Amino acid sequence: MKRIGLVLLWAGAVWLCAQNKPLAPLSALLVIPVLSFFPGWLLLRALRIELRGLEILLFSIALSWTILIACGFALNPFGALDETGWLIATGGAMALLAWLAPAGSAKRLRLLSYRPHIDVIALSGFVLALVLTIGSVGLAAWQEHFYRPFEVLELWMRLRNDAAELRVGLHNGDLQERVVRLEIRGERRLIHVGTPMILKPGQTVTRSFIIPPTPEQAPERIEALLFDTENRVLRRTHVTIGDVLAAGRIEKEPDE
Amino acid sequence: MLFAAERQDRTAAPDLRRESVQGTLGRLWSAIWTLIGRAPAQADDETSAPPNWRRLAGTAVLAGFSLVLIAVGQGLGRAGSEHAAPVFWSASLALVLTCTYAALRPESGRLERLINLIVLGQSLHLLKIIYSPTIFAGFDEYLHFRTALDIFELHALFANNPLLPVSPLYPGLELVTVSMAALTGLGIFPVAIILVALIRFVSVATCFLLFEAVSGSSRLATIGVLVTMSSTSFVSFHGQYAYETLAFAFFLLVLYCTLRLESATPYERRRLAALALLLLPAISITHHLTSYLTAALVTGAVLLMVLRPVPGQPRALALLVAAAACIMPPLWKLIVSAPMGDYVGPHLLTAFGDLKALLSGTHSGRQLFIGVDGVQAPLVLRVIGIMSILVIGIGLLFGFFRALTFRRPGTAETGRRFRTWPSSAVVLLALLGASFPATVIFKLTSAGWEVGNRLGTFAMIGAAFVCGLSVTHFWHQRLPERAGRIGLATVLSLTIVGGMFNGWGAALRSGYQVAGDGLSMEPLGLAVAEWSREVLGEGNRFVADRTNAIFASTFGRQIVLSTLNGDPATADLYFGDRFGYYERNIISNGFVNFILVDRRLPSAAPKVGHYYEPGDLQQNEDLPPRQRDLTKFDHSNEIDRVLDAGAILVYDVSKIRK
Repeated sequence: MKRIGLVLLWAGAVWLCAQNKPLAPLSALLVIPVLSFFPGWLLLRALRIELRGLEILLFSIALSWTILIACGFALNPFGALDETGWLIATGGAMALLAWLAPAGSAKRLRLLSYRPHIDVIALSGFVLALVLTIGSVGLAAWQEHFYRPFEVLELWMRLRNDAAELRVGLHNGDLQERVVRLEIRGERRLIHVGTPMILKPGQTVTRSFIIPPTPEQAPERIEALLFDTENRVLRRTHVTIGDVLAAGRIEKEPDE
Repeated sequence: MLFAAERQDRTAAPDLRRESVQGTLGRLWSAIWTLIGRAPAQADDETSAPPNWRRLAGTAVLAGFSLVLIAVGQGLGRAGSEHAAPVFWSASLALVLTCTYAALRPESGRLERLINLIVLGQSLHLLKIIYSPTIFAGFDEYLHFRTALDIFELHALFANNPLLPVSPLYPGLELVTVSMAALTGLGIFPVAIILVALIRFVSVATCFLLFEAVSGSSRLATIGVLVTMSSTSFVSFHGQYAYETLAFAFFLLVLYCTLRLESATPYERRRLAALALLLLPAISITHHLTSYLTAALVTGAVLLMVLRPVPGQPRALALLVAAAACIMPPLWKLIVSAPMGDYVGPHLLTAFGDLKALLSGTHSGRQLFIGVDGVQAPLVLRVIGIMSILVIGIGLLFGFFRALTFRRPGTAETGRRFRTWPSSAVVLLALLGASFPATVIFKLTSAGWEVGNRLGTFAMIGAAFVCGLSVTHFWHQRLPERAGRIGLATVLSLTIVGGMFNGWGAALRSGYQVAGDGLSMEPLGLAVAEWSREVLGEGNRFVADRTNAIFASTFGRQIVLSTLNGDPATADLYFGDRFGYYERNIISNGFVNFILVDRRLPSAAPKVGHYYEPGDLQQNEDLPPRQRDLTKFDHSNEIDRVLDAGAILVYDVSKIRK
């Protein structure tokens, strides 16, 4: 019963962490070590398979993975491979195995045949090694953050359902702010001339434009152009409004 | 009398000559056997000594410093500095040498050796994280990332993955990842790197236990694991987020259970068989090729046990395990209707065809250490790469026959009536090791490289054991104590670094490279993929080049056209400056919504050999598409340029599709 209680306590704690965003990092500490070891260990106990030292650790981890795979297949027919489904399945599996495992006879998990004695110097060494390792990954992440071989400035244009409404978007994915100006052009007409605007790093701006119909009602190519402060074209997109071809009609191949 | 004596001398002379020849041959054979076959029973390692934690901490600190230097090297590589390669490769060698030397110290106990091996295994995993700390860097990783995302977001198994249709049918790895990602709230990527670290731990420790159980020597096991790390796939292929990585760990555990059956007590045999039976379904669900290779190796081991004419062999249990290993892969294939023949068959046929051409001399084989872009690796790295193969070859030469006659210390010799091989487990490992040179020959061919690389990993388990045996039972006695240890650590370290270079030539980052997988991934491509999901919505049919296709498929959640998925080949859309019937037909037949154009591609040859689909470069006279080929879509009124991101453009071709 004690084991089943612990499993239910674990499931409750995971559920609580999932409900409260600030506790989310805690759920990683609660879930990964537990799910990587205990289901398999409980299965070994339930099957009365006694192993020694490192074998317990290795087979518990591998069997835990096996149980997680089995839980996935159990949840799939119900379309329940979501957070709640996983919590019920893993918690349920562990509770069942805890109930099946013989009570009272569990040997303490011992990987070492003696009591380890780690002195302060060794401990400081391990702490330093950990700091260096985390530092190396941090350094790599920092380098990657600043690695931008190509400028990330996007201009896009989409027709909305109502073909007369044009949606234009800008995104500055770089680390510096930019000053840009947007212009919308039709064929032989200027639809919109924007004023210079500042795009902050990571900022996305969207604009909608209603395109006034032309008197001829003919198909028209609408262009969006993005200029820099010196009036150089940075980006250019285009869409054609109006029916270009009837559906199913195949255009004749131009002569060579 | 004299004549009689002369006659006797004449008849005796050939006998003497024969005896002399036989004596010479005998001595020669004896000398050869001493070199390659004599195996004095010994276990020259101290196994019970407690670990020296200060020494371990020192090793960990040195490994940490090396990792910082490796990160610096990667940064220099991105910046295009010429100092990047010396810094990166020296730091990698220092990292490996530190752990190898510490693991090989004669005064170390088994736990200390094992911890050193685990530190090295995890450090080599960190090498991959340092390479790309925020997103996956390998092409294959994205194929499984897509499957994991499908399960994570659609809450269902077996959703179609157009880039690798077979992946959703073997969802073991993805289910483990998704379970943890769903419950922790972390993304797929952080969970994946933690999971791969755990898999690496299990693989290294199981390999150690396996070699130790078979040989009875932790020193031999240590050397064996170090040689295993020199496999071309250890750092990169089996360090990536892919189904074979998890399946390989399961495979090692099943192999451990099977090979231990022979020497275990009856109670232990039952529990080992039970463990193998529990893990075998997991292999079948996780990876097809590994499950078939597991079946083959388990059957081989069981055959050796069954045929060994010695009483007390665990025949019934072994046959049960072998039967389960053989039944489960085809059973799972049948359940999910996996198109294995279509997927693996062509690879194998092409590989064997290339091998035949290489052996008959009609084809010169793959150009070693030269990329498709014509860039040759530095001489030092080429030498280390070749040396790593030669070292294993030498190890096999001096260890193979010793392995066949190897007897675990402490095991009793069978009576004369049962003159047979002393250990089925060791014989299986020796035979597995003997297949390693064949996998190397496969790697010399263009099409067979992948087959050789996949099979080589499994053959390496046997080769590593044989190499370990050759060191403990031959080289160790012939080398001076301290110098021999330093020499051995250096050779093994160079072998590991050489194996890493052979399997992952692009381990050092550089600036942007065209079609270079990890080297092509940068924020612009990522931003475009995220834009496609946000603005265009999910599930549009996309055509893109190799790198942008995997981004669009995962971060963009688009359906990328792929010939593997039965879609029409789309590479021709990008070659040629005309947009006519042919191109329109591709769009119509493929129900294409959007075409992504990367204008950086014409600037260089593709690192991995193709821009869009395998063979596209060869079909177009080895010439890249021209800028005007890529911008031809601008001239059609039916095509809208919906995104301009500078180097990347996206065209909407839905009107043609209609």
